[in-house]
Amino acid sequence: MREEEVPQDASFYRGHQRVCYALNKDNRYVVARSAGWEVERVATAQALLELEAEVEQTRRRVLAGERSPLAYHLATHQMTPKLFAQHAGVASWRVRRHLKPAVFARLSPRLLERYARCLALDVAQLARVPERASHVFLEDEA
Amino acid sequence: MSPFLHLHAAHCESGVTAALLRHAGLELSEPLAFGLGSGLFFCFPPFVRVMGMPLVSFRSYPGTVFQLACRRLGVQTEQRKYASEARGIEELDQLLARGVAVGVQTNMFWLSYFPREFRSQFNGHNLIALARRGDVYELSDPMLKEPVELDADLLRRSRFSKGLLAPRGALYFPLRIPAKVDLGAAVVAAVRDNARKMLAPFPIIGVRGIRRLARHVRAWARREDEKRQRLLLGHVVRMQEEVGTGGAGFRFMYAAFLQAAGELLGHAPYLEASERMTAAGDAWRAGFAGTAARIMKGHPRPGEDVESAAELLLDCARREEELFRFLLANTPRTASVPVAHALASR
Repeated sequence: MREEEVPQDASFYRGHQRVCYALNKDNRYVVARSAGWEVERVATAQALLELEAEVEQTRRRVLAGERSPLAYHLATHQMTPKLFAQHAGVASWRVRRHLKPAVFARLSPRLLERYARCLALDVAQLARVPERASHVFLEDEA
Repeated sequence: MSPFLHLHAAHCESGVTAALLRHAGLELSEPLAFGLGSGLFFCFPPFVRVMGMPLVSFRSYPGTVFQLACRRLGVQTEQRKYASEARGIEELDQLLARGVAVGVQTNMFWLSYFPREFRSQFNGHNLIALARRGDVYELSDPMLKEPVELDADLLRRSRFSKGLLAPRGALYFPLRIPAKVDLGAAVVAAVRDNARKMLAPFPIIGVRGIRRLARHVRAWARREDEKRQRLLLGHVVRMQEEVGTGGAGFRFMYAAFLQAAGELLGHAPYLEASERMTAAGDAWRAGFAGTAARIMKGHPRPGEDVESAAELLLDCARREEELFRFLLANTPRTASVPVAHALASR
């Protein structure tokens, strides 16, 4: 890549710049800064929209009473039940059970407290999901 | 001790390594640190899934760039991991109070200074802790232009995150720089080691790993629906570009390293290999990633499809195989060179 070809496209960097290495006129490698690359933006946007769709689907299922709010918060934290179980120090089959609304409703305050702490939420936040759809990962359209 | 100079780098670990070594008195560029740590790699293992996507890595295992670069330079290091969170926090704070700049392995999700779009549950991000003031740490993250501050609780979550590559509070820093560093010998050993890794007779790593990926990309074209094909291609492109690689999955950074190494040793084959590495990087970027992006956007050029993207991967594999064979066949005979100018800041 030549220095003058280093892409300066719209991106999710939000004013951040990325360092890359490119050849200058004398064929020497120099540090160049990129504001973003369209190819990368397309890949990122596509992956994040997919995650957003999963979060939204989970949110709807929680509101429909099919899943517990924990399922929604795991999705927004990009955690699988197994990964969350490791953080919370709980067996993963128990976490999977707690994704059922009926089981979640009976959880002890102590365990709820621990779950909330692991997700950096308070217990009240843990027990509910947003009423309306909103983006979690994409702050705005870049 | 002199004040810490922040380094804005392409990749977290090579940036941390170069910045820590410079702070300790050994001036190295980021590409040199990366090359000396034989950081270039490719790995496409079966079964391992990250958020439902196959693991594709263009880098060596996190932590090895620092370890190998220091070992080859004869730099003594200190590395710690913790079973106990409290102990890990206490020891970091003690080191910072003594004025030590400390390399820290972290999880990106909790690093709130990054744009939300780039914060994922990835445990291999490296940064340097500079100081603690009350409930705030001052950090030098090589992906940023300037040092930043981060809430102490977020750094704790980040350091003691669980899952794949769990950091377990890992801390590392150079202890002592030797009086004489044989940079030439270190470079030759690093290039040879990296070439061997890329040519290793294992079907999931190095050049053979790239060929395996190409076979899988071809299979995606047959087995997966169009949406999943686009997501999978996008995933490979993200691993190649988005995660801070200096362009083309570290290939340009390695080309910069080979150029510096060739000039340092006066060894023309390294310079030729640098040019060929640049060409391989261009094949990854303009060839594979460019084609993948056009497929993702739904308007490929005539003749472009997932199959042709796989062909482009095979082209990358062929270029890299030839170039690493060339490097192994053209190892400089005498490695030792005077390196006074490499230690400019002492």
